[in-house]
Amino acid sequence: MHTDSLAISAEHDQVRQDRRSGNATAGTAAAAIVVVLLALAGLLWSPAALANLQEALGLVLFAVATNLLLGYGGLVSFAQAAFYGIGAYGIAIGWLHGQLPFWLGAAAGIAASAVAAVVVGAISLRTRRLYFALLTLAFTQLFFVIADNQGGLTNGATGIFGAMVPTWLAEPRGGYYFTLAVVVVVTLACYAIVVSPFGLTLKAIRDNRERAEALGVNVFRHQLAAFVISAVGCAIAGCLFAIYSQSASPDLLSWTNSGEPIFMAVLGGMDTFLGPVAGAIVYFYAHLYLTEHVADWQLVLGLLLLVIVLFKPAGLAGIGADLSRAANRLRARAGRRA
Amino acid sequence: MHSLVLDIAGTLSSAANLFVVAAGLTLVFGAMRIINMAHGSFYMYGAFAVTTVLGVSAGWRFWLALLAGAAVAAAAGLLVEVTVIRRLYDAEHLTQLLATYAVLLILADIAQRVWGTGYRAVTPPAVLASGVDVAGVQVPRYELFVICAGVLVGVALWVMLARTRFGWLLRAAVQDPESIATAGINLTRLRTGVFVFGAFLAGLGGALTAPLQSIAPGMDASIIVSVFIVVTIGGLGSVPGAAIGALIIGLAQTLGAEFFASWAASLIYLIMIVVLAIRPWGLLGVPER
Amino acid sequence: MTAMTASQPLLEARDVRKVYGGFAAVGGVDMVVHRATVHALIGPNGAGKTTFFRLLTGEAKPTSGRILLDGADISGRPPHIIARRGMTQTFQITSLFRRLTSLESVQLAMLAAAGRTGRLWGRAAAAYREAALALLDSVGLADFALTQSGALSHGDQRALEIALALATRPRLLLMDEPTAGMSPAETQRIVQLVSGLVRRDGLTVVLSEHDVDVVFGVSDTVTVLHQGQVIASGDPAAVRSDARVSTVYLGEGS
Repeated sequence: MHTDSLAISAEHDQVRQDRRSGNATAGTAAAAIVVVLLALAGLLWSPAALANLQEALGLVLFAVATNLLLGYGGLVSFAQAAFYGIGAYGIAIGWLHGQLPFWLGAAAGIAASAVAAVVVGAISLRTRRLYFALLTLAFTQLFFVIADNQGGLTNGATGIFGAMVPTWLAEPRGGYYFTLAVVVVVTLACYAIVVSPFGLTLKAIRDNRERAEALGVNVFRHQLAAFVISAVGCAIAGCLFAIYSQSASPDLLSWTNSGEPIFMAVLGGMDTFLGPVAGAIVYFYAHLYLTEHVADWQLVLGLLLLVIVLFKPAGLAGIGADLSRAANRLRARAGRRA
Repeated sequence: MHSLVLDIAGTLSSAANLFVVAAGLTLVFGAMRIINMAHGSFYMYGAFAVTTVLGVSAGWRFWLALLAGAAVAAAAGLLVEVTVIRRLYDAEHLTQLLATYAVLLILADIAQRVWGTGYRAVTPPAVLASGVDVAGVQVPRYELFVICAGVLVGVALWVMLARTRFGWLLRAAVQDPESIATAGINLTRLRTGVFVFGAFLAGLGGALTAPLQSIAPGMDASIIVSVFIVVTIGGLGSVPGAAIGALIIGLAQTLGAEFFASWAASLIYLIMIVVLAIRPWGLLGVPER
Repeated sequence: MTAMTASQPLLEARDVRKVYGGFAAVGGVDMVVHRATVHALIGPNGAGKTTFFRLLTGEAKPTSGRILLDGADISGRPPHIIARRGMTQTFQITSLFRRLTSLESVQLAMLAAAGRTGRLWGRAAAAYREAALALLDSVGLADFALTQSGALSHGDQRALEIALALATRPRLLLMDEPTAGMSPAETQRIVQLVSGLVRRDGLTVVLSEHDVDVVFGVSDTVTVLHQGQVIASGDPAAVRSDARVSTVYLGEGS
């Protein structure tokens, strides 16, 4: 079996210790403040800035839902893009072929994702680690090929474009507040799941699968449930994308799109609940800025990812914890001198 | 009959190409448990290097170009191993996947800097350009060349693994890593050597197929999926497995286009899913230690 | 120190045999374990202790003979069934949830025992909190409730192991070499822990051990195995002075 590299496990342990020492309450307060600020931004920011923020919020949900499986479940999957794409196509296909209202298409897309997740999960979760990841990769590519080739259903490689959402949702402020509301509600639901007995069991399975089984836990069923819950979250994020872009196209389902929320979660810190939130926002704006101003944005992103993965695997949350510890030490030293 | 012969040639040549690239990946994984997402990047570098050496025309420089392609890929492999890979040997799979994906991004960017963002093409050398009469059908000579090259590489690998010291060390690393450690072998140099060799094979594969496809950014991401499938079906760490996997996938790609029309592209994924569902560690693989 | 003789023995093995090929790893073992006692199983390597233990936990099926738990026949039943009937084991190699705290680990064990691990609502932090803290206290880990398992000392980890096994409120605890690899101080601590649980809480313990001094210090009954057979069984003093036992252990460094 692989052993963690010492740097990585030490980093992760330190972050979790700090969480327990009261940073949890600080996190909740910070989150509440952020939500209020986001609500205010809806009133004050320009439509263009709001459009970016709306897209970023969708990615926040994508990252949070992915991290349910990655950070809490300990499962590296490539399937999140498939569920994201199915969610988006739900709205698009519903509009294209059935003139369905967006919420009905969304419901269909989310339901279809859940069903797909049950099938993909039931087959893939019987394998372990690397083979699991590769199987989910195969399934995702399968869905990609279907989206790319079945022109009758999905309009093929061109994708589906059009006025698939009502005007109030298509215009900047309406779309923004709707997205904000959905993201906040679903993120809260994810949080509730993470602190529930189910969440604790997931973490236990992640840490020591055999011991969990010895205690009587049905590992397969728990992992499958986590897989499906994560898929539903990703599907909702996909619906938000369709609402934002009024489109759906096959590259939403490519495996490289699965890498992005993983990147965001690792960047922000996959050991904390809010890490992926920070990671998604930082990644989005960094990507935006870099692609506009730097020709070699791939190089910069690649180097950033490499540095984080190799040297600061706890991500931004880890860096934040380092800073707060340093601040505490300074405060203690100042206190002694006084 | 006409299309059957062409189909067989097409299948065997794509299988041969996939085998060469996949052999590199599977050896690296088998010996060092490293899963390298940037393996396709070495393939791409091999192909691009060929375009540089050849310009657009070919000639006796073609053989030089093949070697150059493989050598450039090997050099890139050396750089990557020394800077990144050697920090990953005891790391979790996620770390390896992310780090090598980052390497993919970096190498892709460098490639665009060096070779631009457009696509390139090369033609095979004159001696390999025409067709050969096989059972009354004109089969592209170059495809036959690729098939021969694939077989040659297979045989050379077999000989190397069975007869040379490096091959012996490689097999020991795959089957019994503890024996390497205790025998006082310089593990660092061995690992570097294996990784560079894997990159060399990937680059060779890229160079070989340069005349058969358009060479452009994005080759790295698209080939890596096929190679992963070949290696997984065959069993991680098994070179014969890679050969079998390459044949199956080569067949699926050719037959798929013939018989399954719009579902053709999904065939290889379905095959992988079915194989792993029945034998979770591939046809010739062993359960993860 | 007398066992509760009013009721039947909690665990009984009757002429249990385990034969592999032609080789009898366990050849006709009888054992009687009374409630609220510590029963030790000792013997040199290859004596059949491990195999016999596996027969008790359900990991292996006896070739013949019967194993009774509180009168009910559990011979050959699978481990999770035996666990549900009230007999759990600690593992020789510590196997914990590295990033979960001691408290969370025990809470998880209790949730698993109650079949409540699938609950998507409610807070895990509140689940069985009082009971879990009490259990941690009884194994001496009250101060480390909020420490991650991976950060505990070796002795504390072994204590947590025991806590996890006790989380399901078993009637009988099987301990496979509980003091293996421990310093004298850690060994003493485990010994006192086990004694306390038995005297105070009425737990019954069957342990296999190499450390002969530990065994004779804490046990009420000792059974000695040699080449799959019982060569002596009874109270510690009697077994210690038994001639056959000294012969068997002559030259055995433990």
